[in-house]
Amino acid sequence: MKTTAKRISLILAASLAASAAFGAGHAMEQQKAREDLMKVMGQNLGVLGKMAKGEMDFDGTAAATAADALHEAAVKVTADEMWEEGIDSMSVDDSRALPEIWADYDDFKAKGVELIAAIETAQAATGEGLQAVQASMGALGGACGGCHKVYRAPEE
Amino acid sequence: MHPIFRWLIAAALVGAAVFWVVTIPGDVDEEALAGLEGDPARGEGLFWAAGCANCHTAPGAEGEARLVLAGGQKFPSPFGTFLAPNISPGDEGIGGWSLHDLARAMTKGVGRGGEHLYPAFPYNSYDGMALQDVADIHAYIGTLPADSTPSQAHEVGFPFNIRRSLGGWKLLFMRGGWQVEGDLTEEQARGRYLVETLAHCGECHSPRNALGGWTGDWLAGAPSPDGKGRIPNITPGKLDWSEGDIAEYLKSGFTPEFDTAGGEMATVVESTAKLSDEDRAAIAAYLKVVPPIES
Repeated sequence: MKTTAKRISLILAASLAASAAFGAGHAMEQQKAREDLMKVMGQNLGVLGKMAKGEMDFDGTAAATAADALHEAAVKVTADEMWEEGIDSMSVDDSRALPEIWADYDDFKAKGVELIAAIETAQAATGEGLQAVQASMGALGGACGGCHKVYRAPEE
Repeated sequence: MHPIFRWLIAAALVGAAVFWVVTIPGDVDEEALAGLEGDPARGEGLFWAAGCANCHTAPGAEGEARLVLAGGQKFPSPFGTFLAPNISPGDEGIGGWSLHDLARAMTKGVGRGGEHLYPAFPYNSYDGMALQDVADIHAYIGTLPADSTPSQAHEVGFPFNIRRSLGGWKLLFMRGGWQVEGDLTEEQARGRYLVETLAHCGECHSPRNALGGWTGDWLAGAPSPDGKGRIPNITPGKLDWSEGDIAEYLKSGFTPEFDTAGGEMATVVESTAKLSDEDRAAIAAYLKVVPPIES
């Protein structure tokens, strides 16, 4: 009996540890996936932004490609499966995703919708020329900042 | 009574009298205000440059709500939590305030009742404001919607709740001049007025001593007063962005890496986005001539 109980508890402990490890691994994976998508967004925003600032010659085709890639990454990063409750700055090392995201998840989602809308405006602008792209940057920055203002922890 | 006690009492009385005199709230000369006519259209630009809405809107206000100066945002600090008051042009706000009242508050840190205001209100920056600019802001605020939210009391304990002691703080720490001196171009000088006075960047970006006075490491960064994170060093010793990068950041919020402003700075950018390109360029030009501090 004693040995059986011991075995059971050992098995339990092992499976608990395994699931905890899986949970931690999963959280880190999700955090990394978010950050990788944000980096892709940053790179493509960079193409649009450098053209808007005049640091890079305007090229409508390259701008459109960047805006499309930005859109694709933004759709992925604003999806629900990227934001499981509990994978936040309080429970994952180095995460800057504040728990406030889940306190007002509807608002968080609404800001995601605003971001996609701002990117769609920028996509259309790439076909219209440099001035249109320049004009679209303010709304893009506002949409990015809209979330970062409330839902991202300050850098340490 | 032993003579030494008499001397001590006399010294204490003299000390109290001196304290009383040096902590008398300052005032703005009525004559300096005579003939000033506020222009609300000009005041609108100054209102955004001075960042009034950043602190005085209701918590979380966005878009059009940033024109409703209802107050209520909380500002935790080592001295207690300050609550921004209603400054909308209604009865609960500053509806009845004369230009003199507002000028005295903004440039001297003295309330309508003659009381010292806490330096959470950035009068140590606004002190350098041209009175015409105060008049224009006064006129512009008068055009905004009134709001009936009552102002809330600050959550400040002893001894910081003794208003008179703020007179001592002012005596020790009011800057009374520019932080960056020397020969500046016209653009740099405009940037200095924007950064040091109107936009009051130093209020958050400059480190403070235990009593809340600036240490002198102008714009060298500081721990966030709410204890979360750090406000960055924006002197050329740390901030290596080009002037174009700085201006773009203040316009769209994008860093040169195309990350964006977050936290309080995202709110600030909502205001600096409304400045002219020339003013944002002037801010950038000034930041390049601030003495560099490494760290």
